[in-house]
Amino acid sequence: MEQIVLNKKSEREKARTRKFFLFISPWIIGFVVFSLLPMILSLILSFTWGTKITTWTSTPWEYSFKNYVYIFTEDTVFLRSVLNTFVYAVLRVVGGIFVATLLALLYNNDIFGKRLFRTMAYATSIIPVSAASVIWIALLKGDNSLIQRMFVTLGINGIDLFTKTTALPTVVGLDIFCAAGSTMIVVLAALQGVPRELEEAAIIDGAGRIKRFWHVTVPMISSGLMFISVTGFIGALQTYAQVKLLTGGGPEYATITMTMTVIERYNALGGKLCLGYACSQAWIIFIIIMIFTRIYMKMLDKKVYYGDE
Amino acid sequence: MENVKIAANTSPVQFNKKKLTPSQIATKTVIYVVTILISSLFFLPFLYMVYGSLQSTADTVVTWPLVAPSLKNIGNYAEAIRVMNFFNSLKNTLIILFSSTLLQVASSVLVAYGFARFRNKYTEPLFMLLLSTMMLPWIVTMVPSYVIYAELGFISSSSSLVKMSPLIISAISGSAYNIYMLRNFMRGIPKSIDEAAEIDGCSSLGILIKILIPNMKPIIATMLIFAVKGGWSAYVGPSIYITDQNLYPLALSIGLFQGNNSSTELHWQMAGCTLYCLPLLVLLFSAQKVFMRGIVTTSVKG
Repeated sequence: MEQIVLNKKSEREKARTRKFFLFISPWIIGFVVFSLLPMILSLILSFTWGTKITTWTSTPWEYSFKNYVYIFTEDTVFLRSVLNTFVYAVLRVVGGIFVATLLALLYNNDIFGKRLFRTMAYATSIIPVSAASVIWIALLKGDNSLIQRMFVTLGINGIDLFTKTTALPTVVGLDIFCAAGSTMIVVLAALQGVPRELEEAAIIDGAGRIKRFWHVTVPMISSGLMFISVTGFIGALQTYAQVKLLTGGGPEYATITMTMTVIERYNALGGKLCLGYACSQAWIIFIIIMIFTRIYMKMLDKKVYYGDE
Repeated sequence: MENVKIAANTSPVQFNKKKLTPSQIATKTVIYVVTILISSLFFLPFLYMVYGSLQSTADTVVTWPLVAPSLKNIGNYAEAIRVMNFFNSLKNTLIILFSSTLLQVASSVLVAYGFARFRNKYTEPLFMLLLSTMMLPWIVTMVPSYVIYAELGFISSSSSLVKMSPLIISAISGSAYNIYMLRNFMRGIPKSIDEAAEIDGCSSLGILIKILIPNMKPIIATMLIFAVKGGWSAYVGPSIYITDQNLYPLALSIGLFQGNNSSTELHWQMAGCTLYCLPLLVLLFSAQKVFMRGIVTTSVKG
């Protein structure tokens, strides 16, 4: 009797396991076909100097570490792009959180029409990247931009925002501006989750505004800020469209990013596709992103309050 | 959300509403002025875009002092529609957008259901794997994926739908982020409801459709809206896969104003940008609550 019950139970368990795999099958298929296979292929290709997959079947390929050696010894553009990307990511994350927190504190005030104001601030972040770049270029870039002409008319020696030294900070600034609205909403949500009693207790204890902010508000919203900084950092390390459209990586590789080098390298190297090399670059980027995300999360983890878990 | 309301009701500003001291009035005025200034600053790109779209020549868009825009130049929009092949681009955008969004959200719901309700020894490790894919840079899979599609003849196919399909079919794996959110949400719905339905003879899929999904309408609506926003703006994917100008979505055709004589018809392009941004702006203002709520639920719990 007991045996039968047990059998029935394990039958049921098996059926449930089957159902589990049935329901998650879209993800499994997608993961295998669109992530795992390309990744494995990319890894294999990265050890070759291949230009097309079909050459695989016709001529035997030579496998070597040449690509990886070349990346670190000769390819100054790639190394430059890694440096650029990290400068971009750090400035972008730190600046982005700073601006978003200031905005959130401002929009957290209970005033008439706050919904409308929040939506206005958020609106910039919905401009599609290809349209935003058109606007910024017309407004800021080159002699034929509104701002430069304004400087000329007013007789001011304006600064060119897209030179070798200024282009990267400009791109960071514009990206922060564009993303500020949506980041602000996240911080705002975290701010509104801070229990009122805590702040009142701090007021009774005689803490001033700034003290309250640092010792009550910041610790309480730290998990929200952590969320923004991690997703922001991973995203910033892969940035492509904004920079590509604004500067194309120039002038003189001053703003080229890691992902841009891969696509550029893939698109053309002396007129032919350089598949193997692009793949090895992509893998280096993958490893860099993995390592830094881990370090970054560990660093932040120690300082974050997650609520009572 | 309830917490938010309580917090707002007990804020000191509201509490002392009846007897504001002069210094409080001053503070409030300053806050008001700063808020208006900052909000306007963020709205500036939109204003400039519309301003530029109503100029008579490309040059006046960037002329200082500013030239008053005039509705007489509304013809710029007609030119933008012509240059961008607007309605064709719109059609392409919508095809890619709707198919990938529906596929992505449907997959996400199914997968989240599996992870939330059918727990066994594989659940945890697979879920960890799913979460780790969020850190996977797109660049690693992009190059080989492109090559695979090219070798399989997708890129050079004569059918336009096949040519667009690389941008669509990968949505089958759902979005790891959405799956994570949906799973957490489903686990918050008492399992006893499912069990009762199961005893009544409801199938697993039936439970999902009849019980769980109706309870998740707000979060699914949010995901749909964000997917639509993302798909409407998507640039990287199309710029890599779509080479045929007839298949350009709006994100790419906005770049078509660089004419043969190397000068851009900027006033037309600004009109194109305005047309391109307008639907998103309408969506934002009409679904304001969904936008704000969505980000709130998805971020604070995460």
